[in-house]
Amino acid sequence: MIRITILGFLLLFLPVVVQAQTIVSVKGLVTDSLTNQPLSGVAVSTSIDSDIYGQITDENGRFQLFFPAGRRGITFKMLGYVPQYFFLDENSQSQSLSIRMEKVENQLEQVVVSTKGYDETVKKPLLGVNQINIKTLSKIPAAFGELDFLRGVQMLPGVSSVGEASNGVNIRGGTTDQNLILLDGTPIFNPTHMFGLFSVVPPDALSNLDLYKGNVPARYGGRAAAVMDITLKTPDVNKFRLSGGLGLISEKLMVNVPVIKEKLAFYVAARGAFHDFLLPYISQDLDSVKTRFGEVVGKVFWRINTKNTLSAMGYLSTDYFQTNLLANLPNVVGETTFFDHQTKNFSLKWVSLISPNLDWQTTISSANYDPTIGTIETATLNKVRLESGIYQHQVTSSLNYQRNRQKWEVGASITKYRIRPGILNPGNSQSVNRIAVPDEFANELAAFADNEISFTPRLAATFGLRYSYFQNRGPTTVRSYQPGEPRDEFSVLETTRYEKGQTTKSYGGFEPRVGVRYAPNPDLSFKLGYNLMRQYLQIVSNTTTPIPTSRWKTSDTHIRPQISHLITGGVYQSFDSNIYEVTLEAYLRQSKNIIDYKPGADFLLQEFPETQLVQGRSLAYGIETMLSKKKGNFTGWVNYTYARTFNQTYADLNVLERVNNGNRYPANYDRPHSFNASVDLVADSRNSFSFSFVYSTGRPYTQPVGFVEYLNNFYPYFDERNNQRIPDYHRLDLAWHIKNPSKKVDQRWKGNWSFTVYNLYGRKNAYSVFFKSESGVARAYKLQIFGAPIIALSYNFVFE
Amino acid sequence: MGLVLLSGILLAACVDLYKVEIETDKSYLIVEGTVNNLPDRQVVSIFRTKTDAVFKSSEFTSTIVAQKGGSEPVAEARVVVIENGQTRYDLTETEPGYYEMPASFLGRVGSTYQLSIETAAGQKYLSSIETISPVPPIARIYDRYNAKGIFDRSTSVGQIATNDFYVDFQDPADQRNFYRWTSITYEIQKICATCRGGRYYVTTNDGECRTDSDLSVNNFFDYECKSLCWDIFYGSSLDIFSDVYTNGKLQKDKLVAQIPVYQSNPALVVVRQMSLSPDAYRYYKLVQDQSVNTGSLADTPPAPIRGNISNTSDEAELVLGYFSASEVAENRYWLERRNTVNAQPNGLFASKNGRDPNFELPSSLRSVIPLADCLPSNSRTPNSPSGWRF
Repeated sequence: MIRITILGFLLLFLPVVVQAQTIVSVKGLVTDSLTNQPLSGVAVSTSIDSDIYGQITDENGRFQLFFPAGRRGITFKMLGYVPQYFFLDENSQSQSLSIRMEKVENQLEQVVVSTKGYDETVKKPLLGVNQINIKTLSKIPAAFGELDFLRGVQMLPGVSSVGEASNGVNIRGGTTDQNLILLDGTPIFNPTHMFGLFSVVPPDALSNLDLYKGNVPARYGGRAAAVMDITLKTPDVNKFRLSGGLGLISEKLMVNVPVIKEKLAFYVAARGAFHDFLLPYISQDLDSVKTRFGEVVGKVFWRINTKNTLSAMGYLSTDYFQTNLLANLPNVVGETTFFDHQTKNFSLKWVSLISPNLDWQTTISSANYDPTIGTIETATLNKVRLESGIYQHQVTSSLNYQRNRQKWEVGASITKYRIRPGILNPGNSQSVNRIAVPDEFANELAAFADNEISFTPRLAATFGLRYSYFQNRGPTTVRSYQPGEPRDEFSVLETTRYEKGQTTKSYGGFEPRVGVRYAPNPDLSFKLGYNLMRQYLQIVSNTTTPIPTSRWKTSDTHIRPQISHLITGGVYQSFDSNIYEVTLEAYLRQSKNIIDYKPGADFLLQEFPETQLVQGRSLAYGIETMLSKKKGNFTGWVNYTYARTFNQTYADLNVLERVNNGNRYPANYDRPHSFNASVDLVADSRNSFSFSFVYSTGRPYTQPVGFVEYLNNFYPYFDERNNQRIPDYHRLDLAWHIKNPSKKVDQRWKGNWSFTVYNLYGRKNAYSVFFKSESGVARAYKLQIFGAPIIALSYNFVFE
Repeated sequence: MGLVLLSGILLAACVDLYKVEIETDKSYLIVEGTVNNLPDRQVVSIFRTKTDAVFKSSEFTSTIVAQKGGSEPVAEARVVVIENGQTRYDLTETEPGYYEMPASFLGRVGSTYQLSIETAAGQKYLSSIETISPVPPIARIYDRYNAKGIFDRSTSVGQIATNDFYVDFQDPADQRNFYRWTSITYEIQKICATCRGGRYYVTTNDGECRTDSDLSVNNFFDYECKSLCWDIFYGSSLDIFSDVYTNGKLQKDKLVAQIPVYQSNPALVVVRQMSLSPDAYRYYKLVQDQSVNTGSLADTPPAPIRGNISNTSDEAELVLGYFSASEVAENRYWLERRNTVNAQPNGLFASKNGRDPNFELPSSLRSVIPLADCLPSNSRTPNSPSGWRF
């Protein structure tokens, strides 16, 4: 710590003799000191007077700076690494450097979530950006010891969910489908396995996660609330490495193979959970339960020459779950329900360095998600499947240009969507018909520009502008309805047929993104931001949290795109040489055209979903405070959030279509108070302990207003939606990490153990409260996902 | 191992009873009635819920039960069913809140029916027009013993084994069909009267219990029936189906009823397969989703359900219940109960009351113990149901 401060001090006061005539070039390679892996995203900068000459290392860890010769220092900084410095004197010539950066944790220092972005010298004016690296994630105690990025981000302020079986997270009052989740640039449509219990990224391949919940750069688009950009590791071109682990739930393995040293390498990482064949031995009741999931990701990296690199990524994920805890496929006779879904994503990225300050990146990607819900016919064991799918193909190209005190990114993207809303596949069934709802087609075009500029060391800003244009395309059939009447079979006026390639409806508009940062002194800054985001693809579902088979729907003639305005402000103060940080952010978000559903809505195999849903507006606001200790043997954070989210259907709807009579009502995930604490304590070079505690107000549910005797039973009846709350949620978790228990140094095999207890004091947190009518009486129940402490032991190893 | 544990948690250990106390502050009209093609009693019931009712989970079993007087009969209303917009059938009030169709009435497939209510206070309610659509016959019916059974609060044990009924039926290809199944079970009842703290006496009309001061108030005497007597049980499950995915196909093994094994005696089970209109189906589907198909990981949040009856002068008034019109295909099934376990012969009384009958023995007071009348009601009859095998 002291060393850094002194160095920084020296840098500031180094006498600089400017010889503006001579320009020197310094280029080089930045690698991890331990793994020798090239490090991308390292901020390389030198400052001359008030000008900063800076650059971020590329995917290969390379950089090149040009500046007037002179006595100066070059700094290399990256979150999670100890900063490095290199000094030049007046006579220094152009040269090539090889910089090895040491991870902070190797020095027994810890780094936690940073709210500042990784490049402090450029002083990012973005607000509400959290970067979590894999090390931080793996410290957070996880259920069953399975590392889970979705549970990790829920430790941050402003991120919540409806509960443990939630199929995604809610960020600043947004629905789960308003978050863009990117895995190496490809969208993830379902981020969880087993209905929210586990997330879908193989932990070994995960590098880091950027969460944008405030200012979202203009290069991201298509979702209205937030962006979670997950970066996978880059294959190491120098070192063979095998790593893996055994856990309570799953096994995992990762192999990194350098094919041509310095040039070509690939890795494959996989995780699988296939233990369900043991179930019947435990209890006959479990005989009918079948569950397995897994995923595999492979990545190839090829350094073509000093200027060009190519990387390719392939990701597959699969899930199968047979359960009686989810509603079965209605109107098909059978007693067992199953769900299965697959994700197949691919991407190819080409980065070309045109000049030291300019690079050109092009990405081609495809994403495919195929969920199925099915019923097994009792007598024949034939599977009746309702299959659906979504396909997205995208090409994005952008130019990145770095200048003295500013940075530009300009680009464009084309996205094609094809949605298969549902095909009922009877298999060998004699009782069920084959029914297919026609595919839906759409295009989304976008152009974007991001500019980061620092006017003075105190004042900096980001300006982003995106223009998105959306077309819903044929072949399809579009109905028109009698205005002012509920949209249903009876109010259809006429039906228009559109052929392939014809546009049925288009939408478009600008999406400005602005962030301003003012720092009166190096430890204090104020930020303000405004965002507009448009969303043309969403989930239409009538459940508390989308299920894996929930239907994705593009905007069309009747379903208008969701538009969200977000205003954010924040104050950030750090103390004690950046060891402590206090932040306070407030936001206000207004969305229009959010999707709500009519009572009794059914989207299964529905060719005209507009008959089942209504649109409305949503208002979300909140205050988030966080105190973190970022360095030392004892690190962690505590945060408190006050947040509200309300929905309201549009007033011009027919009385019978309005939800809650057109009155404002709290969203399913409205949890006013939440408090999270996460602490990591390093006991010695081998042992560390982590604790996390979460508390939040119970989410709303709809309680009946009375009961009646009807049809020989006793039924509840309801009035206002979400008129009560389930009990408050709280939980304490513990993890004990034992690093490399063997005392030998320099061994090639390193193993470590993790012992986790999730829900330490075994609170039976309610996931939902529901009512059931049973033989003439009614009863209220609460459903708990984890009603007891869950103890897990896992072993992870690296061989290299 | 992990998944084993996990699935165990997901399956079993995760649902607990939850206590609530709900006070109502609004009053609703609740109407229940179906017209059909059977030569049977056809009744429309009209009640009004109380504004200040309190529904509270009970101390030990957390059940919420109907309160006495939780809703009040709407008596002396003028209730009319209009057939095809012309023929008017006036319904007669047989007991407060219950209105019966004329005995000669038989609903006809293709005809339309509309319910009109005018309360004594002068408020007018009208149902939508319901058409009786045809229903195919039950092609096959069979029962299967289910040892696990269902939760039945009316018994002393709660959980009780059942005979599960399955049907096959051929869905007609040329039409959209919606179905509902109901069941009525006739069980032989040997005990016709119970007197608490007293004795049974035969009078000129019906028999009655007379309190005796020499008996403790906790003394129960049970009296055997004078004639054959049947208790009637109505299935409480809501079983509906739509042919949206299965139009024109033979449907097999559809579970339609679960009949509790109260005793080992044979019973007569009447399974009714009824047609529904699309709107009636939607209504029942909502009722089902909100109170039967609940407890999944992703429930549909409940909302007010609008039936098909509305106040002619106030569209916004929410009326509970649905007036429907159905064709009924009936199967009267002789349930032998040969394969049941643990059930007792003539055990109906014990199953329901949690004790064996305690008969009054001849004493100095009286040497002949009277037999009790089998009093006909909605849940008991002395007349042998059609299809009963002696």
